[in-house]
Amino acid sequence: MADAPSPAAASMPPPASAWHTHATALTTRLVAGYVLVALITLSSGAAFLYHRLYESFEEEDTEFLDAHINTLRAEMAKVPTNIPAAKELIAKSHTYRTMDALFGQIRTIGGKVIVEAPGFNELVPDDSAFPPPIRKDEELTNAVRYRTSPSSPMLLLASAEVRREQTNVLLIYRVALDVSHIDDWMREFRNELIWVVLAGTTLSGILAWLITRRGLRPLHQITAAMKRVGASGLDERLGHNPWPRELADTAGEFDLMLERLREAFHRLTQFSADAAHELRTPLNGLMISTSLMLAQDRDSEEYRHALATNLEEYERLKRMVDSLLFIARADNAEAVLKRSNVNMATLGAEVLDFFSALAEERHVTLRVVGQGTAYGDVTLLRLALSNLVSNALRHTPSGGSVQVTIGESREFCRIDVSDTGTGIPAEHLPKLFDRFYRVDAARTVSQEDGGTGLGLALVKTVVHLHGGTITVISNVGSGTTMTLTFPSGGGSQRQEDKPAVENAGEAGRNLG
Amino acid sequence: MNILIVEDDRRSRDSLARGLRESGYEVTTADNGETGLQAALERTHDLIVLDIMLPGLDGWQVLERARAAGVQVPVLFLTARDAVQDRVRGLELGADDYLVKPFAWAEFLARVRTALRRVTTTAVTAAQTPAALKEVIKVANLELDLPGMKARREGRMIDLTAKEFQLLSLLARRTGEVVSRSTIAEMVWDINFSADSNAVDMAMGRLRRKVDEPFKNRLIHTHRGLGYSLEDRGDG
Repeated sequence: MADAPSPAAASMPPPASAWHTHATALTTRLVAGYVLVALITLSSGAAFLYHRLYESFEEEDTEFLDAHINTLRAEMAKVPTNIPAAKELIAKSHTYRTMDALFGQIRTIGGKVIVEAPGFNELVPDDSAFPPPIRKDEELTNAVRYRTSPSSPMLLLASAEVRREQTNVLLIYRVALDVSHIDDWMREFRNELIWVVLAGTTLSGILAWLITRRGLRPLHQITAAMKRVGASGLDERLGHNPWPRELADTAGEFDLMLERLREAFHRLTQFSADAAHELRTPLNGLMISTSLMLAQDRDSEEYRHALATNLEEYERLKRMVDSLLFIARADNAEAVLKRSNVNMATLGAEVLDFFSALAEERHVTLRVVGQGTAYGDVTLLRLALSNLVSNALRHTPSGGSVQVTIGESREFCRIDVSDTGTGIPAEHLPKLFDRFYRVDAARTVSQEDGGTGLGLALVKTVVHLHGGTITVISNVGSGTTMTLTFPSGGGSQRQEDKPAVENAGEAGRNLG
Repeated sequence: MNILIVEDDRRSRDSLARGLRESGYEVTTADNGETGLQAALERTHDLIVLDIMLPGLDGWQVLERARAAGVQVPVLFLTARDAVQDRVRGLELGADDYLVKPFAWAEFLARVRTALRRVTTTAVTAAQTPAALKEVIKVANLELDLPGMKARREGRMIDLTAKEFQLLSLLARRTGEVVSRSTIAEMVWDINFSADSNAVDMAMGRLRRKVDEPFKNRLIHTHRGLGYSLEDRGDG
C-alpha cells in the first residue's frame, strides 16, 4: 500500500485570520468586562466617599451654626443690654475656624434690622432665601445652602428666634456662613476622585488585557499545535501536552476527530489501492488477449471468440465499478432507502427462482422455509439475498442443498442462508466481508462465476444501511450459514423515505 | 431515419456512428455542445443522442436551448453519472431516455429503436403497432397471449412458469434484438449486480428446452458475450 499523502497538503487549511478575529473579539470582550467591573467598583467607592465627606461637612457646619446661635442667645440672655457685644460678635464674625466667615443680622419680627455684619446685604440680597426661623428654644438641625450667583461664595443660611431677657422681645437672628472654601475643596476632591477612578480603570484595563492575553495563551498554543499536527499528517496527537483543564477536553475531541479522520483516510486509501489492483487484473487480461489477437492473422471465428470473451470481461468490470460506486455512496450516506414492508418468504422464493435452473444443473436443492416481514428497500434486500444464495451455490458441491430460513421476532426479521458446502476456514471469517477479500487468495475470480470479490461487501453495505447485522458460522467440510437481521416489518415508525438508492442497472423499469 | 450524435469522446462517437450506419441509419456527428446545438437547429433529425459531459455547452444546456427553440426531437442521454437526480433532471428537461456508461452496443441499439418507435407509434396504424404494445405477439409459429399469460407453439400449449413466460415475452417484445444477460436478470427477476450470468444462461437453457427443443425451427438464439435474441431465422 502506498503511503498516505498528508491530507493537509491536499486541502488548504482554513485561513488563520478567521481564528484571529475571533480571539481578538474574545480578548476585547473579556477586557471590556474587566474594565466595566473596575469602573463600577471604583466609581461607587468614590461616590460613597464623596457623599460621606460632604454630609459630615454639612453636619459639622450646621452644628457650628447651632453653637454660634446658642452663643448669641446666651449673650443676649446673659447681658440683656449688651447689644454692642452682640454687634461685635456679629460683626467680627471670627471663629476658631478661621476659614469660616460668619455674617449675622438681628432683626425684629417686623423685619427692621437692628444690627448686621458689614456686607450682609450684598451677600444675601434676597430676604426670602432664609428659612423660617427656628423657635427660641429649638436647636438648629439643618441650614439652607444658598448663593446669589455661581461666582459668588456658597453660603449656609439659618435663622433663629432670639429672646431678649430684659424686654422679653423676640428678635430674629439671621446668619450666613460662608462655606465656599469647603466647597472649593470638595470640588477639588471630586475632581481628584474622578481622576483616581479613570486612572484606576485604565490600569485595571491594562492589567486585564495582560492577564487575558496570558490566560488565552494556551488557546494560541493549542491552535499552533493543531496546525503542526494537521500538517504532519494525522499521526500526531495533541493529548501528550499538559493542557489546562478547560482545553484538555478540546484537545481530546480534536484527537478523536483526527483518529476518525485517520481511519477514514486509511480506509479510503486502502480502498483506492484495492480497487486499482482489482481493476488491473481484468485490464491485464484484456490487454493480453487483444494484443495476442493482433500478433498474427487469425480467422474470423477466432476474432469473434476473443471479442466475445473480452466483452464478458468488460461486463464484469462494469459490474465491479457499479458495485464500488454503490458501496462508496452508501459509505457516504448518500443512499436513501425506499423502505416498505417486504414479505421475505416471497422475496426468497423469487430469488431462488432466479437460481433454480442453475441449481438444477448442479444438482443442488434450493429451499425457502419460514415466514417474516422486513422493513427495508426491496431492491437492496433482493440484492443482498441473491448475493448470499449465489455464494452458497458456488461453494456447494453436487447433491448438496442451500436453504433460506426466515424467522421473525418483534423487532427483527432474521434470514439464514445455509449451505452444505465446503465451508470457510475460521481465520478468514473476520475479513470475509471486506472488499475484494477472497478466501482463496490464489484463486483469481474464475471466468465461470464472474464474481467481482465485492459480493459480500455489498451485502454488508446493504445490511448496515438498514441498521441490521450480518453474522457467519462455518464448519469446514459441513457448510456455512450466513445470518442477516433486518428491522422487522409492521413496526410503528413509518417515515416515507424519498427516492432512492442509486444502484447500477435499472430495477423497476417496465417490461418492453 | 437520421440520427444526430453529440459526443466528445472520439472513439465512442465513431463506434456509435459506425454501428448505427451499419444498422441502416443516417448519422450526423458533433464533438461539442455548440456544433451539436447548431446541427440540431439546422435540420430535423429523428433522434438526438446526447452526451452530458461535453466541452463548452454541456448536454443539459444543449437540450434546454434546443427545446426552447422548438426542437421536438426525441433525445437519448448518455452519461457516466448515474445519480438519480441526474436522471430526473434529464427527464424533466424532456429527454426521452437515459443510458449510463458503460453500455453494450445491443443495449444502445435497443434504446435507439425504442426511442424512434415511440415517435412513430403516434402516427402509425394499428396494423403496424410494434410488438411492445400488442396483446398477442407472433414469432413464426410461436404465439404469446400476453394478458392470458399463455404460450402456444403450433397450436400446442407450452407449460411455462410465470417467470419463464415473462422471460419469453421480454424476448418476444424485442424480436430480433439482442437482450443482454444483465438486462434479463434485471427485467425478469429484478436482480442487479448479478455476478451469476450463469444463472441466466441456465434459465435460458431451461426455457429453450420447453420452447425450442420439441420443434424443428429454433427461435431462441445465443449471441456469445452479448446475450440472447428471439427471432425467426427460418432455419427449420
